[in-house]
Amino acid sequence: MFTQNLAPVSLIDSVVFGDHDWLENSVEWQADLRLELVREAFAHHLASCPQYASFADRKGVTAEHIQTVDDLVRIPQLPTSVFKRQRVLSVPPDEIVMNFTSSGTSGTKSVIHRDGVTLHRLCGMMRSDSPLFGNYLDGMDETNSTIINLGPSRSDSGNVWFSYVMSLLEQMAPMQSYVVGSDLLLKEAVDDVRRSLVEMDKVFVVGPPFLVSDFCQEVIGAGAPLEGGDSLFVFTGGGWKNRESERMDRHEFNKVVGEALSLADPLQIRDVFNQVELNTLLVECEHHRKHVPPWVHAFTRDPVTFEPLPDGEAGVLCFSDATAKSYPCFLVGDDVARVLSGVCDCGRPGVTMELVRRLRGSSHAGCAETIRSTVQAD
Amino acid sequence: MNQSEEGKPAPRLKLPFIVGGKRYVAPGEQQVLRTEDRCEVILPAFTADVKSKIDGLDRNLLRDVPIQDIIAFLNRVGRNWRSSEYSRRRLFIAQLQMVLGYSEEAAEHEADWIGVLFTSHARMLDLLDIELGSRFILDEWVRSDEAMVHAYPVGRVTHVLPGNVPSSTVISLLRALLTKNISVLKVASGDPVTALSLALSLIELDASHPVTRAVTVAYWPEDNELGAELIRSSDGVVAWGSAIAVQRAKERCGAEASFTPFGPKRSLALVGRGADPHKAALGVAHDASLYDQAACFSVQEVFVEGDLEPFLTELDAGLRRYESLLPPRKLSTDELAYLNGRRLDQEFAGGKLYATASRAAIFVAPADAQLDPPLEAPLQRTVIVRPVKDLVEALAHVDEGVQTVAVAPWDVIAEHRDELAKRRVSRIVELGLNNVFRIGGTHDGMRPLQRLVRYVSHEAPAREFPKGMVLPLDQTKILENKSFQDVVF
Repeated sequence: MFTQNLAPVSLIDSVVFGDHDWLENSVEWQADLRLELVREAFAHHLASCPQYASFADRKGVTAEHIQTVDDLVRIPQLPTSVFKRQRVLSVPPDEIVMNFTSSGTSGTKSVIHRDGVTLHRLCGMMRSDSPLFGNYLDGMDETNSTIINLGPSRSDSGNVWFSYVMSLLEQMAPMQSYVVGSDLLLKEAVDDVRRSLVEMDKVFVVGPPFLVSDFCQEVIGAGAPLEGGDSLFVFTGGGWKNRESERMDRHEFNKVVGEALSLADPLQIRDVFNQVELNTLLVECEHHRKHVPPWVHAFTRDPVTFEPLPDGEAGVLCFSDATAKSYPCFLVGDDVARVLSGVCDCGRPGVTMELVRRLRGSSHAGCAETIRSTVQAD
Repeated sequence: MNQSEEGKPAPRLKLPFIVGGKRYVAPGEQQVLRTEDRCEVILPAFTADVKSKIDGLDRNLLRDVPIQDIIAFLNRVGRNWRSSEYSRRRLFIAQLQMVLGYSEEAAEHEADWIGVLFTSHARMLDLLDIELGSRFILDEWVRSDEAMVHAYPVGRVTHVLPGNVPSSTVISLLRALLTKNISVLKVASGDPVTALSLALSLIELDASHPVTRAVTVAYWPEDNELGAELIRSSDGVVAWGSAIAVQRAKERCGAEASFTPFGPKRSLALVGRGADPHKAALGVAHDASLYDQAACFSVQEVFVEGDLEPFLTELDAGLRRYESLLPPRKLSTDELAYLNGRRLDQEFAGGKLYATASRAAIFVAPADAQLDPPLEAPLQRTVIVRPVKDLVEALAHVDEGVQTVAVAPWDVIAEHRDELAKRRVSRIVELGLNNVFRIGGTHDGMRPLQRLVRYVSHEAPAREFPKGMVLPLDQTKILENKSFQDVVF
């Protein structure tokens, strides 16, 4: 009687929420799982999103066409610009619980409508024992760790996706947030890191790289060294935004941060990739490669032909993410990257992604107007 | 990926500024412009020294130079540009390919346009006649009913130039010189070569000529405060380009300065039932291929009445023909990725990809397609064809953002001209002629020369009877006699 209204646990949920370490399985095993999960998601969106179904129909692709892992590239994908101009839903509108936007440095922002299931799956990934994080968070719990968030708290993050995602780290350990309104309380953050290093085994500083850079400058400016040793960890994400001109390459960033915070090992600095249209975090391993979990199919396309590229070739980064229920998360992204399948130098098998750079936006459209203004009928 | 992605350094091009007709080479600081992944352009930094030299230029330099001398000098410059042996022309063609990614054929065409525009002396005089009322008005007092009117230059005009259409730079400069203004050509990061090539060709002909000394070419980034100050202290601002660029220039323009905006516009075509499919399609192909649709007069959408298939077949052939005549610009990796994304967006919105050539593409928009705002047009020779039962349906897609409506057959226009005008389009032309601005025509609703002059009127004395009166104008007497209504008819 009690189980009548309970849906059976789906395969995707058992993988996302379960404690199975897929990284212990072979590349082929992960690929088979990926095929099953992404194909199931494709079928769901074909059945539930009329706009997407119509698009796939015009592209001549049905669920039956997806029989092997190699077929996954046939799943019709959407440019992120679609989400800047229209609502694309695979669930009834009343099931949407939050509408997220990109933090966006300019122009129109994407709006992604997420339902409870889609959000829960994201939350399900945010646990210290998730294989998503490798062993970066091993031993972290709420009694021995604290998180210094160079961003707003979850309640203050509003609908800005990146801030929301980073604030979800509070599920793993107590978190203090240091952006209040539009102010970053750098001095308070530095003081609290010093205090926490005395009281806790592990202290995590999380935030976009430009704010971590500001944090380091505050430490240097204070004149008193901060001894991070093997207790302080830095977790970055979100890119340099409108401070692109200050961007440091990864090697330089690690050097500056490692020296400023006296870290025992640069491996204590990790980066995560995410964008508002993607429902999964891709977390960096010890070898600075971002691991792609088996519910995401990542590959690159030739920018000239948009045809899929072989493993390892730099191209436009594309994703198909099976965890998104409320919208078809089959994306042509805005980054240049390489995607590799095999055993990473860190020893973990699977798919990894190496970000090359952000695609530059359109240039010099000049006086040709590309967006029609709203027509006013006489 | 492309070569520069693989680590090969982009070619570098070092260019000077021109200040008052003289080369200005910075002793130290430099600015580096990266034009996509094609090349790096190194320019002097826009420093206080550059600005002070520009501020020191005589704003009335051309005021007393007769128009015929200005036009004669421009004509001599143009004759150089008409020669395929002219070294500046050859360098310009090479730089358009290197910096803007133009094909050789398209770059040659641009150089031809410079030659034609600079040597159009008769057209220049016509332009003065039409836009200012008299070709003598900048040289002398001209009778204008009960007044004598003399037009003078506004002074120093700053041109915020576009990076997409080199001939805009030529037109902008010619208009300013024809109205005897001195010019500061603020180049766009996308095209630092056209303005410099023009200025250098003036110097090469006669460095001491007042027309040469009336031209300054510089670049500063958008957030440069010295550049903003220069705009604020200009007597006129002519702003071309994107909505953001034009808006920013407007905000910086002084309250009493003239402002001439050539902001973002789009253009479309109407193909009526009686049109010859071959001729109409070739016209669309021309109007969509020139400048790879980056100009405001570039046709983006075509509304086709009647049988669609013959037109589509001809359009496909026409676009391919133009890929040979004027090969498309070489795009960077990122530009290509952007283009592919926008075309995919068209497909998601319901557009049906009919055909692709090496760059051009045709999408057909069924009635249920959602190709309306805010969907972005992909440009780069992407033509959106909208079948309609009657061309009247096209009117729903016309607003003040439309610059040019191109039509075929020509007689169709009589039926739609008034309605298009009410919807605030700027030009109506025959298909295939979008880039030809006829003498007497308007530009974005304006006669631009009028924005670049100030008129002084020297009005008739009291002894000259005002129109409507049959006796001298003695206002005291009129007031005393309370006869105002009796004497003025």
